[in-house]
Parts: sequence; C-alpha cells; structure tokens
Amino acid sequence: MTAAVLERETQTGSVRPMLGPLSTAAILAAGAVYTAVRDPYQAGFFPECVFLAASGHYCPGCGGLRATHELLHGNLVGALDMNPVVVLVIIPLIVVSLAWWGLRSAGVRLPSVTISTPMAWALPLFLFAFWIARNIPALEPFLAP
Amino acid sequence: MTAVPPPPPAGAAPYGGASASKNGLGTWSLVTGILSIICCGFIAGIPAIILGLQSKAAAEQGLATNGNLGQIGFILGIIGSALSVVGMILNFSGLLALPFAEFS
Repeated sequence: MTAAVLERETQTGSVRPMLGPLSTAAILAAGAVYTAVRDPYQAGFFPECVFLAASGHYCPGCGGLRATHELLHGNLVGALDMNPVVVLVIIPLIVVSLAWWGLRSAGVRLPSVTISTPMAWALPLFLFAFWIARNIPALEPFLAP
Repeated sequence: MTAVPPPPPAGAAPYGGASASKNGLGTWSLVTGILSIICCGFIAGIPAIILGLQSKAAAEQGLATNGNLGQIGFILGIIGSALSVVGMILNFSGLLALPFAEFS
C-alpha cells in the first residue's frame, strides 16, 4: 500500500524517476557511437569473443556489433547478413522497452507490462534455437556472420 | 517472434496483496540473463544471478510479484556464466587455442 503511494509520488514531477531510463539510454548511445565510429571487423577495438575463440562456433550474439555498425551506417542488408536476430528482435526490443520505461517514468500513462513466465522463456528459447541453427553448416550462409 | 503484448491479469498473484515495488529486480535479472547468453557471458551473468536471487527473496517477502522472472534470469545467468568461464579456461589454458577469434 505505502509502496504504491511512494511509487506514485516519485512518478510525479521530480527528475529522479527519469535517472534510470536516461542513464541507460546514455550508456547505450555511447556504445552505439563507439560501434559506429570504430570498425568491429578489425580486432583490437572490442574484446574477443571467448565463446568463438574456445569453440569455433557462433553464439547467438555473434556479429551483433558488426550488424549494429552496418545498421548505424544505413546498410540494412549488411546488418541482416551479420545477425538477423539482433537486427530484427534484440535492437527493436531494446528501443521499445527503453522508450516505454522512459515514458512511464516521465508520467505518461501507459499500461504496465506484466511479463508472464512463458513470455519470459520465449526469447531465451528462441535464442538457443538460433544458436544451434546458425552453426549448422547448411544454414550458415544465411544465419552465420 | 518475440513476445510482446501483455495479458495482464488483474489477479496477479497467489500472494495476497503483494506489492510490485521491487519488480525491477526480476525484470533486470531477465534482461541481464538474456544478455549473458547473447554476448556478455559472466559479465552480465553474475549480475543476473545476484538480481535473480534478490528478486526471488523480494517475491517471498511480498515486495515483488515477478519472482518468476528472477528465477529465469537466475537460470540464464548461470548458463551464460558457466559457458563463458568454460570458454575462457579452454582458451587461455591453450587446450583449445584456435586461431580465429577476431570478432565479438
């Protein structure tokens, strides 16, 4: 009860509720600028992928930085080539949920989203399937970076 | 393909009148857990595990309604961390020093 009241109070007026969404957006924006300016095709600017180094296989995020780089340079096809899931699922999901979070914190009346257990499992399970699929040689031309 | 729209059933809980004040823990646990799988290994996985535990504790105390998300984030964090740690051990021990690995 008191928590609900508190929540409502912090949602009106003050800047504080915006700190979370704004700082998250700032961190993501800084990362995006770095990824756009630097060249993720070359070694040295980003840490190596340990999973790829150790196993020789692609994890679900492999090519994600290159895809982001391409996307930020306006090359949608190149981005999809690198990692379709990051382009079509992960990035839109980040943008939408960040906007949702920011707007709600700013006091805009949007419904609160309740993530059910099956919904919460859906993305990880999909990512595991993608993980396997992109390492199948026949599918590599389409799914691997 | 990804789950979007909410069916938010009003009776959100077996917990009588549980508050949602600490629901952020579960949500962030899930987010970091997923990140630990797609890119960041234990760097996101350890936060996912910690947040997941806190979220489950908060749910037990009636301060959160989404302990399920904390549980999922907790599991994903363990999987992501374990895979990356095994990868690092294989990589740096030279047991499996493969010449590719330019990209992240």
